[in-house]
Parts: sequence; C-alpha cells; structure tokens
Amino acid sequence: MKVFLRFIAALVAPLLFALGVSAHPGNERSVAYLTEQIARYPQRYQLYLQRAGLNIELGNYELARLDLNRVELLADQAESGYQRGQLSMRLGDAELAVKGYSQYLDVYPRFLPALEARARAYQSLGDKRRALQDWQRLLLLSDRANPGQYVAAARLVLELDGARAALVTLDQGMQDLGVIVPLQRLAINICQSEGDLGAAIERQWQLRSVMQASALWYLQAGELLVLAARYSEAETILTELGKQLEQKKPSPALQRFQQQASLLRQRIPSESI
Amino acid sequence: MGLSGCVKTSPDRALSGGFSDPGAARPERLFLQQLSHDGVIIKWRGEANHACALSVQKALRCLPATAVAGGHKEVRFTHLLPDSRYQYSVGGYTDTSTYFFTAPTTGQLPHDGTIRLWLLGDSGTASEFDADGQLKHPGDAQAVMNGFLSYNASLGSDPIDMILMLGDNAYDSGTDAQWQTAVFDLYGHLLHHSSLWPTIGNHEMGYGKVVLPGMGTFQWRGGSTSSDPGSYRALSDSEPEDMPYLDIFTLPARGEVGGVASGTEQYYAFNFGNLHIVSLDSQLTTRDREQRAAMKQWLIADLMAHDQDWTIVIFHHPPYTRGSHNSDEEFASLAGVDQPIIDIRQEFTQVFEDYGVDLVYSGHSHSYERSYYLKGHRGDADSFDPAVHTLLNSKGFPASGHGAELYPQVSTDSQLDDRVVYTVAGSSGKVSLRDGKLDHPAHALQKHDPQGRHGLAELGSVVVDAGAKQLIARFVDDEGRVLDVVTIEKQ
Repeated sequence: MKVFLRFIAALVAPLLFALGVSAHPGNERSVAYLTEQIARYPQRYQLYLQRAGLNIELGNYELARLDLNRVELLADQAESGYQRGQLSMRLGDAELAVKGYSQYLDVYPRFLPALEARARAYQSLGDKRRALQDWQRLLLLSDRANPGQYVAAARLVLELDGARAALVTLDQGMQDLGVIVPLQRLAINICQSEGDLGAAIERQWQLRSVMQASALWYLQAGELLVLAARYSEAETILTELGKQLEQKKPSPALQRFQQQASLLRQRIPSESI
Repeated sequence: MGLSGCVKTSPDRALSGGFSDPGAARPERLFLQQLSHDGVIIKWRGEANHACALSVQKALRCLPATAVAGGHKEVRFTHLLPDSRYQYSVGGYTDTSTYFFTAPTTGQLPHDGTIRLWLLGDSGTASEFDADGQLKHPGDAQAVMNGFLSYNASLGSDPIDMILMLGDNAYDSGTDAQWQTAVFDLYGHLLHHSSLWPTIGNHEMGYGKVVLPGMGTFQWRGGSTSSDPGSYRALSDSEPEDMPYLDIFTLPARGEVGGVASGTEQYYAFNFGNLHIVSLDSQLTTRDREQRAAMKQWLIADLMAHDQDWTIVIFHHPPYTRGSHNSDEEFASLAGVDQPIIDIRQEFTQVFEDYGVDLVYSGHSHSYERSYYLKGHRGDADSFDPAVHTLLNSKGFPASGHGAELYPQVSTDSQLDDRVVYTVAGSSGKVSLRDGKLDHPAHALQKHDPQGRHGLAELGSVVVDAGAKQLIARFVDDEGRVLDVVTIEKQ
C-alpha cells in the first residue's frame, strides 16, 4: 500500500508543482486541480480546506461553504474555523465569523491573522470591547507589530476608553517601535481634539528630529502654534518654513505647502508680529 | 563526538590582535547592511565572533559581534570617514572581496563622480526546482549577473555602490535555504562589498500546505493575501516559522541611514550621496487599510525630509504592467493576490508625482517594461491618454526618454517636478509572459523587441547611474547589451 501511495505521489507531485507556479494568477487552475484530487481522495479533508480558501478568494462562496461542510464531516470542526470565519466575513455574517475564528484560536491561540480577523469581526458587530481585547492580545504577542496595527488599536481605545487611554496605547506603541510619524501625529490629533494644545505642541516638538526638521514639520508646528494663539512663535516657525520652501525643488507638494503657509500667516493678527 | 565530527578552527584573535588569520574559515554567508557615509553593518553566519575594519590610513578597529535573528551575527561600525575604502575581516577571514567604500557625504557624489546601482527583480530562480529536482530556469540568474558584470567591466568596472532587490529574491517561497542558494551563494563576492537593499515580494511568504498523510506535503506558493508577516508558513516542522526575510536583513526601521524612521523593517528609506531611496512594502503592509495609510503618511514625511538630487522608490507589485501580470482592475482584483497593484496605483502614484520621486522600480511581471514620463494615470490601461498623462515630444508623441528626448526633472509644461518613470524589471531570473502581451500603452515602445511591443521579454537587470546632472537607467541583458536607456536631467 505504501509503495502504491508513493507511486501515486510521484504521479501527483509534478502536477502539484506545476500548479504551484501557476498559483497566481490562476487560482482557478489550482481549484481545478484540487477538484481532480478530491475526486481521487474524497476523504482527505486538507484538500477541501485548500479548495475552500481558494474559492473564498475567487468569490465562489457557495462552493467554499460546501467544502467547509465537508471538512467538518471529515475532521475536527476547529480545523475549518479560520476559513469558515473568512467566508462568513465575506458573506457579511460577522457573528458566524467570530465563531469560526474563535474555534480556530482555541486550538491555535497564537495564530495572529485569526486574532486580527476576529478583532475586525467584533468591530463590525459593534462589540468593540472584545475587539480591543483581541487587538491588545495581538500587540502583546506580536514581536513585529506594524505601525498601522497600533493606529487601529488606538482608535478603538479612543472610542471606548477616551483620549488618555488612547494616548497610553500610542505611547506604548512608540516605546515598541520608536517615535514615528503615524503614531505621534494621531496622538497630536487626539490632544488637539481634547483642547490640549500644549501637549500637542510638545509632541510635535518630539517629532522634530524624527522628521529632520523638514518643511512638513515646520508647517505642522506652525499650524499648532497658530491654533494655540502663540503668534510670535508661529511667526518664527513660518519664517523658517518660508526659507526652507525657497530651497526646495518645485513640486505640486511644494505649491500646496506654500499656499498653506500663506493661509497660516494670514491668521496671525498683524499686531502680534 | 568522534574525530570525524570535530572541526578544527582557529581561535578568534583577541580584539586588539591581528586583522587577518590565514586559517580562518570564510563565513557561510557574508554581506553588508546599512552602508552609509559614516557607518556599515557587517553581517554574517558562521563561527566568527568579531569583525575588524582597516582604513586606508591603517587605522584598525575590531568589535565583538552581536548575535541576531536567524543565526546571524553582526557588527556595526560607526564614525567612519565618507567616501573611503575600508578592508575588513570577519573572525580573521579576509580576501580580495572583503572591502567596502563608504557612501559620500550626504548630498555629494563619490570621488568617481557617479553612484552606481544594480537592480534585480524576481531573480531568485537559482533555488527554483521542479518535481524531478531539476532547476526550472538553469543558469538564468547567473547569466543576468554575468551580463551585468560584462557590461560593468566594459566601463572600467565602476564599483557597484549598492544592490537593490525588487522582491521574489529566493524562489519559490523565501525559505532561508532558498535565500542561501539564490542570493548568498550566487552573488556571494558582490555582496561582500556592495550593500544589499531588499523589498518584500509575494514569494517571500512561504508555503500554503496540503498535507496528505502518507503521501507528503504539497505546497502553494506566491499566493498569500495576508498582511501579517506571521502568516509565513515554513515547509516543515524543522524550519522556523519566522519570515526569513525579516530575520536575514537588518533594515533601518529607526532611520539609521538618513531616512525618516518607519518603525518597521517592512518599509524603510535611506540616503546615499545625492540619492534618496525608499523601499515600500507592497506585499504585506499594503493589504491592510490602516497599515497602508500609516505607510503613506510615513512616506510623505520621509519624502519631505530630504533634499537629495534624486529619489528612487522600489516595491514589488508594479502599478502598470501587462506582462505575466495585468494591472487592469478586472485582472488584478481577482483572487486578491494582485490587489496591491491597484492600491499602489490609486493611492501612492499621486504621492510619487507630488513629492518629486524620479524613478519607481518593481518586479512581479517577468519581463521588462519601462514607462514614459508619467503623471496622473490612475486607471486601467484603456484610460491612458498620452496627451494628458505623458510628456510629449515636438511631434505630439510620448517623449522617449533618451537621445534628443531626455526627460527634464522639472517638467517644461508645469514647471514642476511632477513626473515619474515607472519600470517593471522582473526578468532577472526568468522570462515569462503567460497571457501577457506587453501592450500597456503607458510603457515605452521598445525598439529592441522583435515584435515592437511596449516591453522586452528578455533576461536582464537594470543599472542606474546617478550623477550631478543626470540620472541614467539602463536595461542590460544577459549578454551585457544595453537594450533600453532612460535619462532624467536636471536643468
């Protein structure tokens, strides 16, 4: 029997490798191949799982569902959980998606894609507290968090627990990743929204070396100072901004910056200059 | 352990001791990271526990290595002199290839007047085998390298200041072993003295597995649509699950080499002389809306923070292509694998054009396509209008970018630096078109193509020379012939 199976494998392998090369684009060909294999080995649940995943990507949701049903007949229900979750999300059933992801995470608790997917499913259900728990767990487990993940988590914290807690999340992110523009600028926006322009300005100054005291930094700093009615400082910053802009290559961005700088200047009362 | 299991090694010299040890073994893997005007990281895998750098003035510094991910070791040298030659050794091992030139002072050119970049796209075929264990594209990546070296030698062997890899660097799944074969074994000595800068391709993400008990494991490659590097799947339980790409490289996530800190090694930027170079992540980060937005915000901050003469951006998925991949939405949005093509085109090309990027390089399609001087083209190929989206010549046709039709960095019509040349250079390891017809109208017609198409189905790589007044990019085939040239000129 083993010899027979190895013989079959030897026949099958070239097709599989060929298909691997065509795995993109050409998930359709992969599906066709898997269908052929399933016909030969109808008890192999892994084949249905693979085909389900491909069909979900292709938008063949009904076919994917049938495959996942088959997986659940042949194997432990948890095995299909992640794909079941993906399918459910595509079909707009976030509740069922959560169930699928949860089953999978019960068996594979450190599979971060399922954790993030469940967080988003919870969010779409409005269960933001549970979504936040998943985000926080993900950030704890991940040793290579992406800045965007901290942004997503912080936005949720802001909604649920307020500005102070959101700033804590962002500061934790910056302890992890270093002071970086997306996190600090979100923190600045939060401070602004809370009317704490002093804190916003302080954070903008922390970005000065990160942003290499660029024209963008000066423009952002100028905006905050004008908002805070610190006109004398704003004037100094805008003067420096003007000098920088004169040195830069002409570009659409430069033109916009010049317009914005000009508009900012107009907001400075003449008596304060 | 029996005698046959003993390996005789020389003890590492004391840090204050000799630079070289004739008995020292060459590291299995040796390459340079983050080469700048005042520093470098020497990185290797092997027994050695220290590295030394020797200046032309015979000043010697030796430092102990730090063990880092993936079984690598590295030493970071700082306070080096700009545009200077250093010989180095690793555990006493040194040879004629273990040297480097630091970058010139930021904003300046090196003593030889030119910064030379070598770009390779989808080159990783030296590790791509068929079911019978035969190489699928035997010798192709080697031939591309030989073609480049032959071309470089014809110009007096100008030093290669850096090597940029455009993704799919180690087929078919980016395992550590495939990186060893397709990159470190193949380009070996070149990597000893030229800094290597990569970007993530879709074949860096491991395998999707079908495990058939009693029959083995069969794999799907290149089809991951996850934004998570943790989705990397190793071939077997004996391989670590961490994405090898992120373990192999030490990339400047904290802005160590002049770019703005990104906080992640998945995308980064750096300066080299009068060049600013950005590597974006079109494989992972682009697939998540919030991550993509954060990358775009960082990119804008980074592009505004530098004043270099030239800006080059690299990432794997080309915004305009009709080679083995099709950038039209109908095709690129199928199956999700190529969704980054659309997202990059719709959300990032505007940034490139607004913030003065000069050249954009991608791979993914296994051919060569080089665009006209573009601005404002965000839709499918049939929405391309040369009169609106390109610089026209005096006859009303798209300017070619060479000969009498060099591209001015500041456009003559708008008086702004607002156009970009987009190049697909994915034929450094193989050529394939699948159903592609190389007929994307945004790409320049290629006179060396026998069918006169908007691209070349030829093995090759790109050489970029950055000078004070001109940025010249050439496509060099596997025989060292230049088949395409584009020049951007400062007025």
